[in-house]
Amino acid sequence: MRPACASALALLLTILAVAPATAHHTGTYTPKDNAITTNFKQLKFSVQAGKFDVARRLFDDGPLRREMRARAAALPDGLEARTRAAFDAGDAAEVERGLMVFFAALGRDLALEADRQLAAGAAPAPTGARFLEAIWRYYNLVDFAVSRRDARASVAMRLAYDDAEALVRPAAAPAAVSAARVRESFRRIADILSGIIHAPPAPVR
Amino acid sequence: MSRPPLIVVFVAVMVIALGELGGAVLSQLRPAAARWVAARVVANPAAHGLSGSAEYDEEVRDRTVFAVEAGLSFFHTHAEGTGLVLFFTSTLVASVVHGVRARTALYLLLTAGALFPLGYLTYALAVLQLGRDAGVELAERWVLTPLGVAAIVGILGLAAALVRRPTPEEG
Amino acid sequence: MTPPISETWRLPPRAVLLAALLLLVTAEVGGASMARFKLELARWARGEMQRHPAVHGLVGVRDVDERALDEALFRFETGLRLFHMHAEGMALVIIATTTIAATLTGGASRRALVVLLAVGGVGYPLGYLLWSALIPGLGVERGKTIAEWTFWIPFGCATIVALLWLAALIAARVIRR
Repeated sequence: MRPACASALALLLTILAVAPATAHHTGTYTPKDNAITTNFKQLKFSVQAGKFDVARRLFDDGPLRREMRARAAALPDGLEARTRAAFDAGDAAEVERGLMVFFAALGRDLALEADRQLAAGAAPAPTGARFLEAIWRYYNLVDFAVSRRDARASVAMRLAYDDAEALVRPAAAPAAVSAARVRESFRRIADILSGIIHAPPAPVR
Repeated sequence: MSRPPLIVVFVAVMVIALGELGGAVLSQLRPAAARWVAARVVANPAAHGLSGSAEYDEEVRDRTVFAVEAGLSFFHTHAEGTGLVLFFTSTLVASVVHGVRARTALYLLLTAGALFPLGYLTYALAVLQLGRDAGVELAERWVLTPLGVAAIVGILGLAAALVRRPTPEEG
Repeated sequence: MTPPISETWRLPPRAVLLAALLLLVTAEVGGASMARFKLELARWARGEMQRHPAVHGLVGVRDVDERALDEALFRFETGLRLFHMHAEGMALVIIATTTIAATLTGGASRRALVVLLAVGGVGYPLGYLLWSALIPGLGVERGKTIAEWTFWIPFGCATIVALLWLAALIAARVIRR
């Protein structure tokens, strides 16, 4: 009896170690907005409705402005002040530009951090995928604003993102993902977003 | 408490068993089921409005897989519930309803009502064959509505019988 | 010769009824706890997840990790919710089906069916509780694999086999009549 029990136990341990639980439907997760993206949407809709006093209050008290202040060193000089002034002046285009630069900066910093972590030896596929997701979550909010001011940059960003995604989620096995190529793609994304951040103000089409 | 006829008990047990099986299919066989559904959609392009464009068709396929899984999920939850409802309500009928005709009518209505979850199974299969809108219409018109009405009428009939039942003092 | 079957319901053993009621109480307490201790549970789960960064693929960057933590927390809460729902339901299934088995079957079949239905019914929902408990330390998929092979599959199979067996026995009686 003991050898049979041992075999059964070994089999169970093997199954637990290797068998994936691909089944068992347990609901669908819908990603939520964080405090910054929620605040952004509040500002956007208030400005679109022409309610600049509401938008200014949401900006003054909101997490987006706090984050702008926390990252002031990595943002263009005076971005927060210019954006605040745009709310006062009721200048929707300038508000949009200020927020566009802010989210582009968030995406750029994430791309640089991804490059740093991959250089330190992080697994390229899972780490790259997570960072790409986070970058797109921010960039997606301002892609339209980017395309209205610089269509070429918008296209370049989309292409760079698609290329990076194809690298981190290849049809082939994850072991085939090249860390060097993934790093290069993140550097490219960081360059494009830096270009958007430091571009001179352009007329809105 | 008195027990209802064997055939009613059999239907109750079978409905619960099928509900459990539906749950097992939803969990353990989910990847295989999704693959089968996707293959059925591709085999039936006219019913699903496939265009030949990969991006659009992939969305149609995913939506259909989701609709079939939803039908199966509803079947699982409702079958577990209506099987129990039949068990308890038919026990009440056996215990408190007098008159063979009244009991027979209530057994028939309640048993038909317990088969209500088959409407969701019908929906899941009909969506595959006929497309979403036609599938919903077929399931609603021919299965869900009539069986749902039977369940409601049966339970109302039982309630009426309970109200009309003489108290021990009246004899 | 098949013994005559009772025209009234025969209750299953008291231990089975107690097990079902205990499961029902656990489900209700679980549901109440989910509401009353929602914040504490979420805090505990997040803390544990952050203590196991490699398991959840955390990279130490808030904007990246918040999604992973949020999804794992969603699964954690889903497991508790599914435990509550399934325990409520399976308790009633145990009472009804063991009553049917105790009344309409006899001998060794009755004992086997009552045991399978009771054990399967009690065990299955506990798999969801185990899954939730394992998510913070072992991750969503690993926890699900363990719960699947230790609870959902064995206890689920026991219940399904018993139900189909019971249905077959009742069908045989119906046909013999």
